[in-house]
Amino acid sequence: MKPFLNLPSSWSFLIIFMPLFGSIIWALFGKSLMKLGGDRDGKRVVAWGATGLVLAGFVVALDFALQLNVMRQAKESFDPITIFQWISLQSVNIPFELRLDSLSLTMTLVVTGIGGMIHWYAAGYMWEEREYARFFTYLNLFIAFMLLLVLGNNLAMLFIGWEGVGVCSYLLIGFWYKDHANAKAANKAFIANRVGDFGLTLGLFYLVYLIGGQAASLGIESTRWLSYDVIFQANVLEALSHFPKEIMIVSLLLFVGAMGKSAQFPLYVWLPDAMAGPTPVSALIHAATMVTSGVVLLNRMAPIFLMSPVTMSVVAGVGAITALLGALIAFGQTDIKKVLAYSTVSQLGYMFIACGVGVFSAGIFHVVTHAFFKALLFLTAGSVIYAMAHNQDMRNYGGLFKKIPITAILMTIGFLALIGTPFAFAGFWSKEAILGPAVNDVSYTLLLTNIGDYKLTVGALAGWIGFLAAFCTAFYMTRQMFLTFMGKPRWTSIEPAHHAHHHAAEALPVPAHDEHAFFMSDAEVEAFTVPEPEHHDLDSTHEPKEVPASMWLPLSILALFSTGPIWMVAYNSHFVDKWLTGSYEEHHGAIGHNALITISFLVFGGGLLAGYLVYKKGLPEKEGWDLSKWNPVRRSAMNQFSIDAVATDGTSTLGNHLGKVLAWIDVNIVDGLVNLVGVIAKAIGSLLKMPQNKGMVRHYAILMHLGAAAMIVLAAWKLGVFN
Amino acid sequence: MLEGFLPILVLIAVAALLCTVMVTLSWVLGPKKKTPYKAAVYECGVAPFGDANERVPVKFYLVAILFVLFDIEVVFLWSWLTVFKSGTTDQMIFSGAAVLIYLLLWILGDAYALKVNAIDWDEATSIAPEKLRDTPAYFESTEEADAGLSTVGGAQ
Amino acid sequence: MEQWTMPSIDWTTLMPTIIVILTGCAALIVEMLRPKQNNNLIVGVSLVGLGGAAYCLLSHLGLPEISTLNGLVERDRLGSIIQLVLVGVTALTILFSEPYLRNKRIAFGEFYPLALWSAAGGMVMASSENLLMIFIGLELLSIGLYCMAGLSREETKSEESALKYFLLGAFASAFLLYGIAMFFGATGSISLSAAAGAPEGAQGLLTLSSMMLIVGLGFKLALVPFHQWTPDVYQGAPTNVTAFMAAASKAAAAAAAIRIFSAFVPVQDFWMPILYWMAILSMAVGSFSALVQKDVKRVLGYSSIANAGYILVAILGAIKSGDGNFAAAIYYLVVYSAATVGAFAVISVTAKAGTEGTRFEDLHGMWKKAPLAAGTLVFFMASMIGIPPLAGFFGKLLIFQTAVNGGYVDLAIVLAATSVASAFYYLRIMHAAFAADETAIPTQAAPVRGGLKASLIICAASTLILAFGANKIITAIEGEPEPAVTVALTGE
Repeated sequence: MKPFLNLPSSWSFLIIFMPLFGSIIWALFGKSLMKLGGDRDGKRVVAWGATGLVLAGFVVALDFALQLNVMRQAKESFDPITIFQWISLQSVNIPFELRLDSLSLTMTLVVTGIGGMIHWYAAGYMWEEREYARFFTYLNLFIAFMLLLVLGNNLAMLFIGWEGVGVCSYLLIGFWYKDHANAKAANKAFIANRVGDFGLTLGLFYLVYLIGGQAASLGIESTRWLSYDVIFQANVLEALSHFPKEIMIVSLLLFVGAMGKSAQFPLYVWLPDAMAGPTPVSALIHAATMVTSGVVLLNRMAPIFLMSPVTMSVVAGVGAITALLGALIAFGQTDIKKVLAYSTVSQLGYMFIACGVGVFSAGIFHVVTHAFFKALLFLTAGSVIYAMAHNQDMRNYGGLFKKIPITAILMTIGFLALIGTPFAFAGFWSKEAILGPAVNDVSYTLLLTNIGDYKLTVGALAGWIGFLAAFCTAFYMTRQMFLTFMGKPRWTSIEPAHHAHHHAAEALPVPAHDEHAFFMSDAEVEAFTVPEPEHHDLDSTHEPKEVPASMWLPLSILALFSTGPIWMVAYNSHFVDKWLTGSYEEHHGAIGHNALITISFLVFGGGLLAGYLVYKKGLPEKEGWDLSKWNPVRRSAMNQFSIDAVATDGTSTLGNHLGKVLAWIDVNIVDGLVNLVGVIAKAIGSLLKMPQNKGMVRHYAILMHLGAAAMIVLAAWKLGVFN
Repeated sequence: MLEGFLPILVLIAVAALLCTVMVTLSWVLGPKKKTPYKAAVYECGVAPFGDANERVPVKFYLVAILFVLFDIEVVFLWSWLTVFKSGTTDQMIFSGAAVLIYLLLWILGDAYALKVNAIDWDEATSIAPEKLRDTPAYFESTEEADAGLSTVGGAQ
Repeated sequence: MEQWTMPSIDWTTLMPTIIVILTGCAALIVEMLRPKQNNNLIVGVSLVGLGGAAYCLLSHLGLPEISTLNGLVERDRLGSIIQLVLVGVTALTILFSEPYLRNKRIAFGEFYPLALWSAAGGMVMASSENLLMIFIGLELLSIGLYCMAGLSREETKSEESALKYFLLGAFASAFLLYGIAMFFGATGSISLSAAAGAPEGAQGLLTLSSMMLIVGLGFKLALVPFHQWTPDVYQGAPTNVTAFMAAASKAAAAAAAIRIFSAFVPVQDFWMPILYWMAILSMAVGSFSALVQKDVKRVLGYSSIANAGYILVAILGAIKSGDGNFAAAIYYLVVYSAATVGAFAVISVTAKAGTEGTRFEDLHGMWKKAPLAAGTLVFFMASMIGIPPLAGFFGKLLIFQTAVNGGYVDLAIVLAATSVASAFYYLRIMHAAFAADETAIPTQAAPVRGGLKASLIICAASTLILAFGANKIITAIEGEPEPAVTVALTGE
């Protein structure tokens, strides 16, 4: 394809500006629009406006990507585009500048493209919402910040975007803030991210200290030394490599930041709770875009990470643990969205394995494919929830294939893509691109042991764990598909009026984070939705309905991109490598290409078969409502192997105790000192006020003359009159 | 440096000395014999009554100030005129214009003084009573408005 | 005798001052015609005139610097900007004066011509290198202020403040005149430019002259130990007069001080240490004495003493560093003027039926009664404290830099320390406006409308605009494309 608009690069600010503009408009005039055009037309304007602005951004970004492709052939690239001078001091200059390179444009295309689809879907999904404009305000704002994160050309802009998406995520998780649980989930996400952001901030500061403090000796002449194009000059990197310890600390700290945002073990705990937000939000922010910003950060900072094998090993190791752990916990989940949430955690682990073993481009490859099929899965799950009267528990589903066939087919495509169905679906190719180099890794991560000729590095071990996790993925996803679409309908056994919510509440000692099995609480339903006669809770009288076309149309586009052919071409022609890194080198390792394909095949087939065997008859007895009949391991998996409890409760208990001590110190010692200063200041004030007390004008005049006299005496003394 | 000022200093000293000497001498040397006749009112004078340190109506000051203003104006005009007579045409035009501006401003001031009845002995106040009201907007929101004191404004 | 020639007059240079004086005359004529119901016509005439003057001044900014009327009047960036500040302050004061004067039962339309002529005096003072012109300007400025301070005739406090101000002001004028006479004795000229060419032997006289001039200007700027009138007069004078006094008289005096101190550089070894201590004392006395006050107007009076200290630090730093770049002082003056006029405008809200509550308790509940006033108060106080992104922060930052550049690190430290102390009483004012103490007497708040509303909004907006336009303003002051600090969100 050739560039069709040939926009000048200075127009690139439009990509960010358009959703930002939209967000401002919906925020300021959203309600007036509803009033002015009536509820229906007002919502239409908001929905189409919001979607259109994001998709327009996609078109612009696509044009730039095609331009870049042409320029690549002439060995050219875009210069950084300065939008305006932002912070300009003598020693440092931080312009508001954008960077159009393959990484940023890829991410921009993903964010705007998939974001656009999800906006479209959300237009239908949120239709009954009264605060429609507020939702799209946040959603557009999120897109703007995410684009700032990926398009910014310096660390400061990355940081703004990073925090901005965090805020939007917080706002959207807590969108239905009147429900206490949602507000809590939003807080949890925000606080867990603070831990990561703490690391990121420290990392950035240290890097700034390292580069800025020695800019001269590093050979940096520009004062824009926070900008990527300055930091990543070859001579600067060479000079930085003389500080291995510092670089290790910097990269580890940055990785902590990435862990928080990208939900890596042990900071993943917020992501499952984040499912409290509306489903389009889960799809957009907590599956397709924001959670991958950690991977983007690692890709951006790849030259720094590559300098430290220790960090690379940590990245790969944490990625592997996360991939496996997420897959295992997914077995214990009965909430359809929670399964997908843990699946996301697991898939993010793969992306970090890729970064850890040095194939950063494969990480982005997986980000892209995963964005498509996970968004698809979440949105189809949303459609299922929509069809099932906002009940999310899979134990109530079953036999839905016939009732909602379009949704079922679309979800099946997503499912096949996720479990890595060989050749025909997207996930297979990106997983291949990760696990192939991983198991053959010898140079990027630390060596553990030699098994014969095979060098088992941390990266290689991570690769093998990745295969294990892939098996689990196929298994638990098959479980989900069968529980939802196959077997006999199970909601027909729910007594009317004695609905599932109470049923579940009575029957289950549910963990704290799961106490709201509903998408909305009863109060919410009353508060936010227009009462309709057919709107009722899930019970035997319920008849699932297919979603409207406006909701499944965007999904079919996502489904198209979840299938394999384009990705196969991309993989086999090494397009991703060439596009992202500009070069391609053939990986030759102990495990050959064909062997890898075979292993993948086995893993996929094994998982699918196991799932089929266990769940072909519907919900097994020992996974039913009665938790005591559950396998203890599964029960433990349901509670995340108590990781959340330890991480959250432990830290909060510790924090409480620490807080009490600090409060005592604050009240008695710090405040005491502060108050002392205040008392002293007041005493000085009273002292200085004394000559003023009587208010006698003659006293004022005397002081004035005394002052003048003193000045004259002083001058005379200085002039040497007294000598 | 200060030598140039020496004559002035001498002049001041001489003047001060002279005054002191003259006053002191006449006070020391003069005879002091008090008789009732000497203390009586001279010829057709009125016999004194009451305290001399009485409060004076403030109007006196206004008149006095205005008088001083006239005085100053005359001083200015006098000195200007002496120069004006012997000046060239350019100087006449320039200084004439300047004095004209000065006079115009001065007349404005006088007109103001007349208008506010500064020299009108019986005048009570120069203030329009309407201006002593609160802002019209204020009336709209208070109980005074309900009491019917409001003459302007009204409910919105 | 040499041949007398008609002085060449550059009318564009004189135009703003002339316009303001004539506007004052016009306002007086309108007042003489006795408008029965209100003073709106006077306000209108005044504002139109000030608008014209401001327009002329803005067009001056780009013109070359010249001297006209035989060197009596200068047209330079310093003068033009200070004149612009004076015009702006006068306009803002006049905007909120009408409702205040009515509610305070001060029905003198004479306030407007007096304020305009005072402003004209300040404008003369700010734009001359000639000491006699500066003196005349100062007197014109002061005499108007003496009258205005006593405008509230029924209040003893107002009378007291007028008398105090007049008596002490007369002393200060006398000192200034002494200084001018000595200057003439030393140099044989009353033009400041003659100081550089003073004969070697005249150093003593020149030093003495500088001392006397410092006393005179110190009084106007409210520097310790010539500051004691400030809280009394600020408290006693009607609030709109106080606003005008605090901003206009300080701006004009600072401009004169910049010119005079720059001229006295040859004998700077003698007077710089004195100003150094005056700056420290002003900052300390201003900040600490304000802590124990009970009246908001008094607090702002002490705050004005402290701010005079800050401005002095900026002037000293600029003179010491020798680059003659007074951008910090001027920028801070502009910022201070906006915030202080705004703050007094907020206080003027409490006037009702002839009385006015200016103690801290009297502001209680303002948030409920007059939300706009309380809301904008936040801007003014935050700007005075120096909280980014408001203009006060950049003002203090610039002064800090200037002081450090001039080698006055200790002054910079005192500035920072007293700023912290001053935050306390600024926050106290803010707290009073937002406190919802049920037992306290509720604020008597006049409705915030019309001119008052406009004045409040303009002042609050300018604390932001001045911050984001800091670049442009400093460029306008310095006349150079490369300012020392550029932190702005402007898209260039």
